[in-house]
Amino acid sequence: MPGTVPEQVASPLDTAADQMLAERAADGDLRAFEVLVRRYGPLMRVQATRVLGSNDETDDVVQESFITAWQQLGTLDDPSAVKSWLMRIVSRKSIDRVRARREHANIDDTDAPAPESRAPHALAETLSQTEALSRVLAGLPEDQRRCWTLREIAEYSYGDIAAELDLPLSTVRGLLARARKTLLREMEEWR
Amino acid sequence: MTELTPADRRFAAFDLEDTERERTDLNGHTIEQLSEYLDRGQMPADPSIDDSPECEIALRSLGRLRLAQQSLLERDLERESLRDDSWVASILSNITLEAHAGREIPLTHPAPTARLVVTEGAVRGILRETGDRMQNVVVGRCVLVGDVGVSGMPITILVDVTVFPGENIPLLADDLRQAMYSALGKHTELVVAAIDITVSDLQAVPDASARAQEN
Amino acid sequence: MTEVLPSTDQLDAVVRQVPGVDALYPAGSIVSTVLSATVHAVTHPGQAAPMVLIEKQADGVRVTVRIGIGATESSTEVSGRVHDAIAAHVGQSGTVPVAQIAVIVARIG
Repeated sequence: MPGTVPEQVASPLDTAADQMLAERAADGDLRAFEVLVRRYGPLMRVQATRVLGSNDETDDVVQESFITAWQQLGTLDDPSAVKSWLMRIVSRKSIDRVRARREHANIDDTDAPAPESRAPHALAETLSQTEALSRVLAGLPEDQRRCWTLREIAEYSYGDIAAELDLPLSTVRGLLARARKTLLREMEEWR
Repeated sequence: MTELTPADRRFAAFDLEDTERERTDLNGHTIEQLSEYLDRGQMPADPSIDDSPECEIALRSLGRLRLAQQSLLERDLERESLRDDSWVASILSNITLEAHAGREIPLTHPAPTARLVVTEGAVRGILRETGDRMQNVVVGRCVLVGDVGVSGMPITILVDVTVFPGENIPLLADDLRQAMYSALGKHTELVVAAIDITVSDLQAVPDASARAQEN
Repeated sequence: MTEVLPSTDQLDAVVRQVPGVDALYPAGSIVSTVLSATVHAVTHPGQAAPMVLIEKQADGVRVTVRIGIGATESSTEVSGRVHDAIAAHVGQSGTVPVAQIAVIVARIG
């Protein structure tokens, strides 16, 4: 059953609180859901792209995430926390994709070192810090990048990252510490 | 760590392998601790960090990293926001109203073969629409309490609403209630014993200029 | 004995023409809708899958439609009109008795 939302002029919903939107969407209000899609879709796309390492599958993952969200909105206990709930859905789906990809390729590359060829020294001259950070993040080993993204974009706690990735807390701490140091070190080089 | 990069030579604390050197270099602290200290707004003040020049350098680096990260996120969000709207349309066209259809509410018809119903989801929809057509009120959750599947069985409706400041709440609730009764009469044969309206939240007008343009 | 079931394509059109109906949604369960859509895609390449569900049962034919109606319409009136239009069409075109005509108003406005 395709959901089409009738054209409407700017409505109070556009600026409504998350809780109101999540409650209305849980009641089946497509218009409220659309506001949530517009409000958090871009952040979810950023998150998916970072976890996946490229934007090839971002459209699919974000679309799947919103379809899941629509179906499960009724189970959300705290509608005011809809943002972090959406970030969890998209993070989980992105992680699942990466896992499936790896199983498909039948290689475990979690411990693969970051490619050394990213050569920030040469790039530093021409790239903004933002662009350089983007490249260094992309060059992080996959498990570090995943932890970092869950922490910094999806705002997971350390414990939640451990649970999501099925890793010991100490491992998560270690991965985050390595990611942070790599980023700091690279930053020193761009200066 | 076989070979030190120039950055490592400048600042050994960023060495990935050697945490011993990290602590020695940072007055007994780790980068992680400094990062958490920064997260806390450097409160309460810790002299063993604040008085260490090495920690200060590390904190500055962490602060710079944070800023770069913020601007990267802003740039990425802006890029995503500039995309054309097709992705929103694509998501909306792939979700189904069925997920929130709820119960079926019977409508009578003289033909014995007829089974006419309106879904609970559709009824909640018109309750919301009724509120949305009024000024300065937004309808939130609507719950139909009672056995809506049995014709003639009295039910109660619970409605959460948000009212903008400055409204006469009892008057507005009364108007909303009457409008809802009328909409329910047009679309259902429900026997509604009561519509309980809860003004759950008085929210400030979020963006006065945007609302002014609307009017 | 040859029984002629009403055509889903024609019923789709009949329902869409009823005043007040502004959308038609797939009727029946998702699984049966997907199945019938798949069969339809094979047998009617290039055409949209029918929305109306027609089931032949021991006591006759059962027709199910899910509709959306305009905001200013009345569910009771429109659903009644849809029922009557289907009943008239099936009465004309089919040779099978009608066991049930179900009209579900899934969306208003």
